[in-house]
Amino acid sequence: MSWKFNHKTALLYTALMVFALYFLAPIYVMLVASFKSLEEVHQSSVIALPEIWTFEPWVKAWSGACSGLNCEGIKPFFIATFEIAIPAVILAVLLGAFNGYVMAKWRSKFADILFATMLIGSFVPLQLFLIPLAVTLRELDIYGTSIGLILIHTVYGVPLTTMLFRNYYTTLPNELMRAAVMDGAGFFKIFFHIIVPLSPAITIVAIILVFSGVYNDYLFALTFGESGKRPIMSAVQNIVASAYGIKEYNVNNAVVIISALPTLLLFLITGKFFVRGLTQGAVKG
Amino acid sequence: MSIKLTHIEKNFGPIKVLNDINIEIEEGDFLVLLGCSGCGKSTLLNCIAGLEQVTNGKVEIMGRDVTQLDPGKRNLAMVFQSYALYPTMTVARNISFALECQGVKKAEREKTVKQVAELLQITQLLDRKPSQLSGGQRQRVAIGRALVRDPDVYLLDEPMSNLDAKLRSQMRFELKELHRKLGRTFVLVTHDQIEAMSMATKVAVLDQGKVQQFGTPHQVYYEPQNKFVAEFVGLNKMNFLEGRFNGKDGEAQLSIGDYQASLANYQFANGQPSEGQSIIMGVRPESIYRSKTQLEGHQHLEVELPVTRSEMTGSDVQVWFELAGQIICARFRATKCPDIGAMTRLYIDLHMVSLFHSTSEVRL
Repeated sequence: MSWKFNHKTALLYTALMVFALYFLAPIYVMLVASFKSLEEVHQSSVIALPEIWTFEPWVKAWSGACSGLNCEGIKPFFIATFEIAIPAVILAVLLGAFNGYVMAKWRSKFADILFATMLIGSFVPLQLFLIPLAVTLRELDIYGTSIGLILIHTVYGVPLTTMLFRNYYTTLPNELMRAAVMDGAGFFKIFFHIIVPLSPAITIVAIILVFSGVYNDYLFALTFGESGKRPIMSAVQNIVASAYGIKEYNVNNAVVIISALPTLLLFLITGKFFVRGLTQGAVKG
Repeated sequence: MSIKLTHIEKNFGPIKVLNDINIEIEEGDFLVLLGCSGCGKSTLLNCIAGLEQVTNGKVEIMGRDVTQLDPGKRNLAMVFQSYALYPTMTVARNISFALECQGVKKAEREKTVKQVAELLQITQLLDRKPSQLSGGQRQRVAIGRALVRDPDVYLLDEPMSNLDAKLRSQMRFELKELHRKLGRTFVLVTHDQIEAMSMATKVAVLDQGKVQQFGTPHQVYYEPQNKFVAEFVGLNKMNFLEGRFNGKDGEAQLSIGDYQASLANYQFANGQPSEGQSIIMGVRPESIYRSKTQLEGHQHLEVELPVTRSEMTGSDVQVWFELAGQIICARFRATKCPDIGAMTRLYIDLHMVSLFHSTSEVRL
C-alpha cells in the first residue's frame, strides 16, 4: 500500500509527533537530570542540558546510593533480580511450551477445563495469593529466599506462557502431527524436533512477558524477598522514596533509568520478533 | 491379502461416520476410496493408518491384526493432502526423519535418501526448506517421505487436490508408474473420478459411511450396484428414465411412455422383475449415438427427438432431449452445436444400460 502525502496525512503525522514528544519528554528530563550535579539540578531549568556533564550520579546510583542503611547502590539488587528472573523465565517458558503442546496437540477431555482453570487462576488479583503463598513457602522452608521467589514467579508465569504456546500451537496444522506420528515419532521426539523449532517467535514473546512481569514485580519482591538481596523494584522504591536526608534527584533519576534498562533493551532488541510472535498465524509450507 | 477390513465401525460421539465397512484387497492392488466430502473416506483411511481408533471391527495388514497398534508400528506410509512437510527441516531431513525415528544409522540414511531423491528426481532440492519449493516439488518430497520407509502399504489422502490440472495429470501418471515399479499396495482417497478410474485396480465407492460398491473401475462404471454409484461415477451424469417392466409379450421389455426398450440381452441380477414393476433405466450420455454403425449390432432403442438445449465442451457437444416427458442428455463428437428444435435420430445402446428398482434403487 502506498500513501500519498496530503493534508490528512500531514495532520495525522503532526498529531503523532506531538504524542511522541509527550511520551518522550519525561525520559528526556530524567536523562539530563542524571548527568547534572545536585547543585545544578536545583539551579537550572529541568529541560536545560547540563552545563558540566558528570557521571558521578550514575556511579553513585550503581554502587553508592543508600537503600535504608545499606549504601551499596543498586548493583546487588540488580544482580539479585537476574538471579531470580533468569531461572523463573526459563522454567515458566519451558513448562508453558510443554503444557501448550500437550493441550493443543494431544487433546484429552480435560484439556479445555484445565486450560480454563489455569486462565482463571492467572486473572485472580495477586494479593489474594499472599497468605497462602506465605504458608506454602514456610512449609517448604524457603520463605524469604530467592528460591521461594523463583518458585512463585514460575508458578505465576506458567498460565500466561501456557496460554501463549497453546494458542500458537493450535494454529499449527494437525497434519504435521499426523505425519510425524506416521513417521514413528513419539511424544518427545515430535516436541523437540518439530514443535520447538517452530517456536522461536512465540518463545520470545513469552520470555519478554514473563521477564517484564518478574522484573517489574514489587509486591512479591517486598513480601518474600531475601533481605539485602531484594529484587530491584523494591530497592528502587526504597532509594527513590526515602524519607530521610537530601533528595538526590540526579542519583535517583540514574537509579530509575538503570532499573528500566533491561526491559527496555529486551524490547528494543527483540521487538521485531515480538510483533511477529504476536501475529503469528498458521505455518505454511 | 494385503489389507483386510472387517466390520469397521467408527463413531464420533453419537454420529456414525463409518458403518460396517468390509474391504479386502490383495498385495499390489491400487485401492481408491471414492466419495464426496463427508462420506467418511478420509476417516476410513485414518482408521487404516491408525490415526483414528476404530469403534468396532478389525484392521489387518499383511495378515497381521493391527487394530490396536500405533500408527508408527503398522509399517505404513502416508502422503497428506497438505503434504505436511516439516517446515523447519530441509528436504533431506524431511525424507529421512522416519528413518531417524527408527534409529537407522546416519550413513545408511543418507544413502537411502539419495536413492529416493534420484527416483523422484529431486536430488537438487535436498538442501532446501519446504517453503522454497513449488507445489509439485512439495508433492514429490511428500511422496519421497513415504517411499524412504519401504512400507507394506502406501496411504494417500487426496494427494493431488492442491495441484493445478496440468500437474495433476502428470502426477497421476507418475504415481501410477511408481505403483507399477514398486509393486506395493496403494490406498488413495479422492473425490476425483478421473483419478479413481485411471489409477485404481479396485474402487470402493463410499456414501454416508457405507461402501456402496466395491469392485474394479470397470465394474463400478459399467455395472453400478445402485443408483447412487451410477449417478456419482462418470464425468457426465447418467440419465435416468423411468418405465414399467413388460414381459407378457414373450420378450422382456421396458415401456417408457410409448417407447418399448428391449431387455432381451440384459443380465438381471436376481431374476426378472414382476409384470408392470416400476423400473429406472440408467443410460450414460456416451451410450446414445447418432449413427446406427456405432451400435456395432447391439440391441437398441431408436427415437427421433427435437433438441431442447445444447452445450459445447471442446471436442464434444452435450445435447439435451426430452423423451416421454423425461430429460436425457447425450454426448456426441462434433465441432458445432446443433440448433434448438432440430429433429435428431438417436440410437440408445441397450447393452450399456443399467436397471434399478425404482424405490430401493438397487441394481436389478
